[in-house]
Amino acid sequence: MTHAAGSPDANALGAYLEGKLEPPERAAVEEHLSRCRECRSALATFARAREAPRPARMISWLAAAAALVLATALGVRVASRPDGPAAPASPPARTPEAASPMKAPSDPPVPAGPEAPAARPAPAVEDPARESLETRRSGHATVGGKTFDLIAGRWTDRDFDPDADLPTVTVSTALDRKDLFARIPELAPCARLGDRVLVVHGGTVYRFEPPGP
Amino acid sequence: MSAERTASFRAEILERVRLRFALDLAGFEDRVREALATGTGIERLALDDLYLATACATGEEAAWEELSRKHFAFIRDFALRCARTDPPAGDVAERVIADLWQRGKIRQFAGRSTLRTWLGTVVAHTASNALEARARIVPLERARDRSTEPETEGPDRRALARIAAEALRALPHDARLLLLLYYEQGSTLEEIGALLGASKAALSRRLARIRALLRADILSRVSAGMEGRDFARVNIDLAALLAVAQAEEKGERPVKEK
Repeated sequence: MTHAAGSPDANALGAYLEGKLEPPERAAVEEHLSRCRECRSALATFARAREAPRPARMISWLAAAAALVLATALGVRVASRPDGPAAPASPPARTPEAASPMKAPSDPPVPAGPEAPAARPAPAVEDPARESLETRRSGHATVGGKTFDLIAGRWTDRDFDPDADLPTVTVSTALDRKDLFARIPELAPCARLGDRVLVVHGGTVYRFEPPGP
Repeated sequence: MSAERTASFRAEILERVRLRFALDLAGFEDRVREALATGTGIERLALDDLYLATACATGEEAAWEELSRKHFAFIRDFALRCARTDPPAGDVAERVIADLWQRGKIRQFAGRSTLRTWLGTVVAHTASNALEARARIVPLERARDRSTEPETEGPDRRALARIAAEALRALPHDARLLLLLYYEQGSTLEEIGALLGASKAALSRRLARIRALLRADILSRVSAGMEGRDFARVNIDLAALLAVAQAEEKGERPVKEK
């Protein structure tokens, strides 16, 4: 990588892209980007690549096949346990269709197995407190046009594809949240769903975690 | 750094050192201190990734295995997205991996972002340079066409381009960045929105305001230099004008697209 004199290095640019720069340094990076065509071109290439669909690869189909076997096995196992716990209200297992990059993210998920409950739409309620309780019970929530499933204690955006290898930003401190919401206000209502939330926005996965001890 | 903060800082580092790889603690502490010297708070550092990169830089084999397992597929995928076609994407990915491994570029990672984002910027920069280098190789037929092409840029047009370049330089840097990403780089509003953290609608409105501002500025500069002439008839095709203005700045002779 070659840089013109005064160019921000990949560390500063990475921090800029993750919204981790303080305002003065952020302004300095943007000032440079507005004057340096080489860096601007790299930034545009990064943005284009981040938003581009994942290149189709054989491995995706193998992953889909593996997910199909796993989902079927899990579904049969849950159904065959007479004294076992009830199947979860939300459909935690991603079906091959949902995992496939060819599938539209807005399509409803298919139940994990033959005995798994059908996906229910998020309840439409007026009272926000009641809505919160209801959404937690149902295991589904719709916020700002995005649908989330409660999977293993984490509200997970249905657009999230673990195979997509998108860049991930972990947000755990109050300061990080504040900075991020100032830049991307749409994420704030999603993050308020719970302590642990996973949102896909603009080709990046935002992982909200409770602050560490 | 307060005593309490220092203790927690050391505990956090020790936790990582204890968990993985036979890495010298002092070496890692030095890397963390270097990163902190940039003004980044410790809570913002990607310590796990910095630890992995530091272990790789010391030649720890297990660390390279982990780096390869976690990130090499991403490098290849991202290179393919950046370069859009297979041969240059393969070259870009292999060059980035070779730089990390043979030329010790991994040592440059400072933990200010996640390792994946850092790798993404390295891949994007390498791909961008490779694409530009390819674009500079002009096929013989096109080169011949250019050499015999009649001069289509009249003096008025060139003067207008210089005025546009001046007006562009006078814009606030954030407005200039938005305009150039959109017109020069051909980025979509969605891509720019993801970079700048703004919605498509907000960007569209902002772009319209900047265009109006720039047009007004260009017209006022043109009118100042066209005494007695009907400058209202000057037709400003902003996209074309910006392309010419940018080419002027680079010192290239603008070539009319066929």
